[in-house]
Formats: sequence, structure tokens, C-alpha cells
Amino acid sequence: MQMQIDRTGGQIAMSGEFTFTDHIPFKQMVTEILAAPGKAVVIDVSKLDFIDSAGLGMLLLARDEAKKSHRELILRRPSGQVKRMFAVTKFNTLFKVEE
Amino acid sequence: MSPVMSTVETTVDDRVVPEGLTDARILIADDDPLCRRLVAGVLRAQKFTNIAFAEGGLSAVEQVRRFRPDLLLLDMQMPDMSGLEVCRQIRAQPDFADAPILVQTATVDRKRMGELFAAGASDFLSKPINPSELIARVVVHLDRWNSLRALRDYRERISGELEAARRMQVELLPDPITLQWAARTADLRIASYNRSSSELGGDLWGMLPINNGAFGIFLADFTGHGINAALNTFRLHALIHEYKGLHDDPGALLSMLNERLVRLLRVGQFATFMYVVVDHRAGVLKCASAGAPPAILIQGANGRARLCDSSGFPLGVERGVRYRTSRRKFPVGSLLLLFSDGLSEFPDATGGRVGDDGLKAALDACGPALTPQEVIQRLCATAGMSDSCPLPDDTTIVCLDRRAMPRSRGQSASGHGSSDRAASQPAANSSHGGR
Repeated sequence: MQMQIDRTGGQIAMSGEFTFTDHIPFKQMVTEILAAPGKAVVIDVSKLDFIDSAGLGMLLLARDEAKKSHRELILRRPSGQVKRMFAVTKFNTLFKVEE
Repeated sequence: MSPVMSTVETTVDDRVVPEGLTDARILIADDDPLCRRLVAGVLRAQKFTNIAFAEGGLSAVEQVRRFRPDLLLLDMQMPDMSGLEVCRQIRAQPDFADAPILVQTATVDRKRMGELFAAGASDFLSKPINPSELIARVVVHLDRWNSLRALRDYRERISGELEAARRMQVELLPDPITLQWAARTADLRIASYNRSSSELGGDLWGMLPINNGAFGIFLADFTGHGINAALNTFRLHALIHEYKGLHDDPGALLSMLNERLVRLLRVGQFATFMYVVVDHRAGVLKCASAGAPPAILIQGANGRARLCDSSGFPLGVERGVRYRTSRRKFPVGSLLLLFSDGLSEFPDATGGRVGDDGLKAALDACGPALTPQEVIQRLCATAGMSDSCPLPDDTTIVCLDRRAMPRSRGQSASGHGSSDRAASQPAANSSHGGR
């Protein structure tokens, strides 16, 4: 999984496959972006090809962290397998998802 | 004969030998009695007390066996056996394969040194002996040896405990007799596959007898794998059996399990869960799902495989979720496949994944002559999964088969025995059934 962070825009763009091995860099990114001032945090997942249950778990952690800092977490444009996973686990109702 | 220590240093090293090291067993092998005494003297001055001696090469090999030293100080030139040969022989003993051997030599010849290390020497000390150097090297090597042994002991202990835990986890799975009984009562066949990516896994499946031959089958998959996920499977197993009254009501069971797990699991942990009650008399399935991969169902002898909607919040994520029970027909001739995402998301040699649709297509290609066990083998092969390949994720497959059973007719109680389910053991299949 690759990540690009835009601190001022409060946005993380992810690409590739989001699995258990990514938990440390992902956690660092979330901490970093929540440290920067702003309202919503957007995770752009449009270029994410694959997510497993560990990846979903990390999104839940990010959502929890965001809530603690009174920020909203938005998932942007999921597609393919990621979109299907969000649908089957109803994550699309748990998170604000922007199409 | 080796040169005797020519100078006795009077400057004593200020460093104190760490306490844990002074009781180390040290063997001094030298044919020269004066040398032995001098080296022993230096060691004793640093409070090493557990010292033994060998007067030659043969006696050194013998003493290693008997005294079992933690460190050997070995003179290179001894009349009966060269230090090189002593090294080789000692290294051939499994117990002494890694223990430190410090060779004392007067000649510092690069080629000779190379041979020495190749024969298994850990380090060398040049003669005449410098006491500070002797102590420093002895301490370094004893320290290293102690750490290595401690790590090894730790590893042995942990792997023993993991093995015990693995056996306990295997015991959580349905026992063959109960499965056999359920399959025969319901006049169908059940086959299963369960393999973890490491000693312990985060998958769990089970069979819950209800009444009149009806039974429930559940398949759970906790986030992640390894010990954490495995401990959660024990929790879940206990919870499921706590709510026996709900075993006939999938939606209610899931709602209750969710309420309990939401309070038990940390944020980010959850379980996908599929529960199906099989009522063969009514020819009906009652299902509820918490974000599990879709079950694949073939309805009736002429049916085509289709994916059953399995959407729902995974267990342990949100409070107050009400899970719904859906009913599906399950007449004679039907087949139901439940699986964890370890199968559909297994990356094959090219990194491709078979996916839910790929499994559906593979199931359609399985003729009715295949036993459920063979169906599972086909699906694993389609996913690119072999019995010996390592699994990146825990994998569970359960196949319930009500199709015609030409092959099992005439066989008494068909079915292979239940087999072990460790990651290291390829055979993870079991099948039960009758007619």
C-alpha cells in the first residue's frame, strides 16, 4: 500500500492493497493528519485495489481517533473490491462515504 | 609444547565480571601444566570458580562430554591431537555445536586461522596470554552463549505452549462423531477444511444440534490472525454455547453475540459471522450474516450456484444492531458452501484472487458425482491453494451436500476421519455423511 498525505488539505490518498502489514505506517499517517488543524479528514481510497478485514479494522481505529479529536472521517470514492467490502460489512453506513 | 605466558601483567582490569557469569563451567585444555595453572589463575582472580582441566586433545574431547563446559579454552598445539581436530570432534556433538571455543595459539598465520574458524573455533587468543584480553574475550563469549541459550529456552517454551493452545483450539471444532451423527440424521453430507496461517488461528466454525435433526452451522473469522484472534475464538465459542435458546433463531443469536462482543473487543477488532440453521425436514435454511463472505447455494438438482446476500455489520463494531434472519429453500439435491475470506482472497502464484464469483463459477463446474470433500479440493485448487503452501490468512470451508450420492450408496457410514488442523499439517479435510 502506498500513501500520500496532504496535511493542509487534511487528506490521505491510498493506493495498492491495504492489509495487516500496513498498520504501522497507516497509524502514523492518521496521527500526523489529526495533529494538523482542520475539520474533516478525507481518506481517498479511489486507487485502493484491495482491502482485507485487518484493513477494515484500521479504518475503524482511524474513525475512533478522528472522533476523539472531534473530526469527521470521510472515505472518498471506493471502487471494485473495496466498494464491495464496504457494502457487505455495511461500512458504507458506518462511515461517511463520498462517491 | 606451547610458549608459556612470558609476562605476568600486574595491571588488573577494573571491569568486574558480571555476577551471573562467574559460575560458568570453563574447561582449560593444554598439555603444559604451567599454562593451565596460569590461565586458571587469571580466571580465579576474576572469581570464576567452576574450572576443569584436560591434559591433551583426547582428554579435552572426553571432558567436554563429561564436564559439559559453557566455554572451552583450547591450546592449538597438543601432542596427541591437534586443536583443529579437537574443534571438529567437539562441534560434531549436538550439545556443543554452538558453545564458545576460544583457541590459544602462538602462531598468527592467516591461513591457519581460516582453517581454525572453519573447524568451529569461536575466537582466538594469541600466546603469550594477556590476562585482560583473556577475561574480556571469555566474558563476551559467555554472555553471547547465555543469551543464545536463554532465547532458545524461551522459544522452546513458547512453542510448547503454542502447541498446547493449538490442540485446545482444534478441540473447539466439531468432533467427528457429532458431525457424523448430524449428517446421517439429516440425510446429507458434511465436509470441512480448516487451516490456520500460523499455529493459532482466528477462524472458528461449529455445528449446533437443535432438534428433530435440525442443526446450525456457524463460521466466524476474527480480524487478524495469531494469538490475539485465537483468544477471541475461545471467547466466541463460550458465548455461542451460552445462548443455546437462540440456536434456532439466527438473527437473534447474532444480535446477542454482537451486544456481547461490542463490549469485549477493542476498537478495530471484530468478527465476520455466518450462521445457518439447516432444517432438512422442511427443506429450509435460515440464515443470518454479519459481513461474512457470501454463502454459495445450489438449490435443487438443477439449480445453478448463486451468491447469497451476506451483508451486515461485523460482530463487535456497533451497538444495538438487529440482525435479520432470511429463509432459503434447501430441497434434496441442494448444496451449500460456507467459507472464510482466506479462500476467496488467497493470492495465487500470480497474485490473483479467485474471489466470490470465481468460486461460484468453480462450484457450477463441479458435477454432482463429486463428494463434498472433492468439491472442497476443487475449490482450493481453483484458488491456487495447495495443501503444502503457506497460508497468508486462516482458511475455513464447510460444504453441506444434499445432492444425489451415487458414490456413497452401499457404503456404510461414509467419511474420512477427522484430521489434524495445524498449519504445518497438510491434511485439514474431514468429511462426514451417510445414507
